[in-house]
Amino acid sequence: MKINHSKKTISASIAALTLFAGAVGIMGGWGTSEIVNTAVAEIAKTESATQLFEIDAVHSNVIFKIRHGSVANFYGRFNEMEGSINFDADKIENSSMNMTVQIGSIDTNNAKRDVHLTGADFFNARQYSAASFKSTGIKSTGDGTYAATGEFSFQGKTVELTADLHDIRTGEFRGGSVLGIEARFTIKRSDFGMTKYLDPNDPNKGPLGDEVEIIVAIEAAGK
Amino acid sequence: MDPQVQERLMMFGGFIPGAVSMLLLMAAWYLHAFKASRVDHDEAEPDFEDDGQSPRRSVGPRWVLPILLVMGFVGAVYAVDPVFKLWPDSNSDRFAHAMVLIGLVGVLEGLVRLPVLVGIAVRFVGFGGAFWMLAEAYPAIFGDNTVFVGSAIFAGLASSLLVAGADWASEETPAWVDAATWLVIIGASMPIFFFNHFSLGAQYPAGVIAVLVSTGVTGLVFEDLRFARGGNTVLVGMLMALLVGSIIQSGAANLPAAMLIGVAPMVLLVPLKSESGIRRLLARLIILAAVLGASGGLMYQSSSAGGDDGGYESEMDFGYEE
Repeated sequence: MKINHSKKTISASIAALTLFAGAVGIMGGWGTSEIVNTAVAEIAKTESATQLFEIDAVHSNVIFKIRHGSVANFYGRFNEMEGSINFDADKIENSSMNMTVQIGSIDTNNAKRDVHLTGADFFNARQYSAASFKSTGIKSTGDGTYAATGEFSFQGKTVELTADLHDIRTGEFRGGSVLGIEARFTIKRSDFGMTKYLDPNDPNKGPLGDEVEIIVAIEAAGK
Repeated sequence: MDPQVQERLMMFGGFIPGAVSMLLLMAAWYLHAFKASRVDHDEAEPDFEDDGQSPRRSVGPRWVLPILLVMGFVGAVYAVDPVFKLWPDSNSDRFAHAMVLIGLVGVLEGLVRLPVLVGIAVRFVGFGGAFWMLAEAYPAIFGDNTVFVGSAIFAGLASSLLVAGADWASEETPAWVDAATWLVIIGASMPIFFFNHFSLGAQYPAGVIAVLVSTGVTGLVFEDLRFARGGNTVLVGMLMALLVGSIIQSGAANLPAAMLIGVAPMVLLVPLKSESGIRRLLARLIILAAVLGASGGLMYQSSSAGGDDGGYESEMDFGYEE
């Protein structure tokens, strides 16, 4: 019996509190609601300023350039990539991006060489199947160009690097919003342990140079 | 091949290990022969091994050969990848490390006469450890840990048993016969590794070939020199390591061709009654011609089936140039 009594007491208390809260809500009324609505609108405005874009791998390119035979520049590309960009058109510094490239998708215009490059002699792609970049900050460098700093992971190592961003454009295409960005950065393959066929005395000589310039031309579709 | 790499390979994977091994082998085995001819057997008990029945001559400095073979291999690795890495993350950069481990096992065998089962166990640990170094980062290939551990056990045990048999035969075989046999096996394996997307496998053994030539010449002079207790261990271990590089790390273009390279050293197990070194060598060469010829044929067929290479001649860029 005591137990039942206690249950009734608790139920009554909850009911009373609910009514009280409802009364306060009605009395406090529209003043509180206005504040809440304004805040929601501000948040919505901020969110709408940052639009999510997904990288369109079919219309994007990841191109690399490396010195070959100590004299010539050799270009190759990676065909498989994915990633997204949270893009703020009003203030690009608020944007962020991440991207992953599949090493096995290397394309040097020669199938036999592509297989060779993914093996143990070079990329060891069975162990390190992807390279990725995740931005941590973007700064303006003037004239519509920006510098994106972020974490670049390659060959099992992650380093901080800065990529130059330029040719940043947005528009409408096929009924949807699209974003175009081009990024360029340079790495030393020796920083990632790729030292085979490297001349330790002069990185620009030897069969393959040390510096690799990477150009990432992205077309991304709005979501 | 790039002139710089070729030059380094000729130096560090050719001339230097060849010359150093010739000098050291000649010196070590000369000292052994000198001591054996001067010292009275009864008074030099510590230098002799007692099998419980009769005094036996010292087997000589067998531990020198594994050191030199590993030196040749590491020299060739340095020629291709001249940056020292204490413990690289990339499994494809650990060939020198794996060979040092196998070399230590070979040196131990050369210094101490291990009972057969203990020897198999020690080599199993060495080969299994080398397999782990070179293949631990490929879960996508093995699926799960059970398959990986099973593969490591198979590689370690099969290699260890192969060495046990090869050592038994090598105790009765002049070193120059074994050296010539290994020269053919390794020399034939190099282009097969190369065409199996693993050009490093065609370059790393260069220094070992230089040491084998020196060993063969030394073996003609000093008849006590043998590949047993160390030499076979390093050579079988090297083939195992390169097979891991070709099959697991790179994905062999023709798996049967690569596997036949692993079968080739079994020619050392074939019992030959003839006392003539030349006859033994000829018999081995006939068997090797069949095994390695089949491997080369499969590789050629596979390469031809791949169609036009688009003008890519990787041997000109990075590979082994004869």
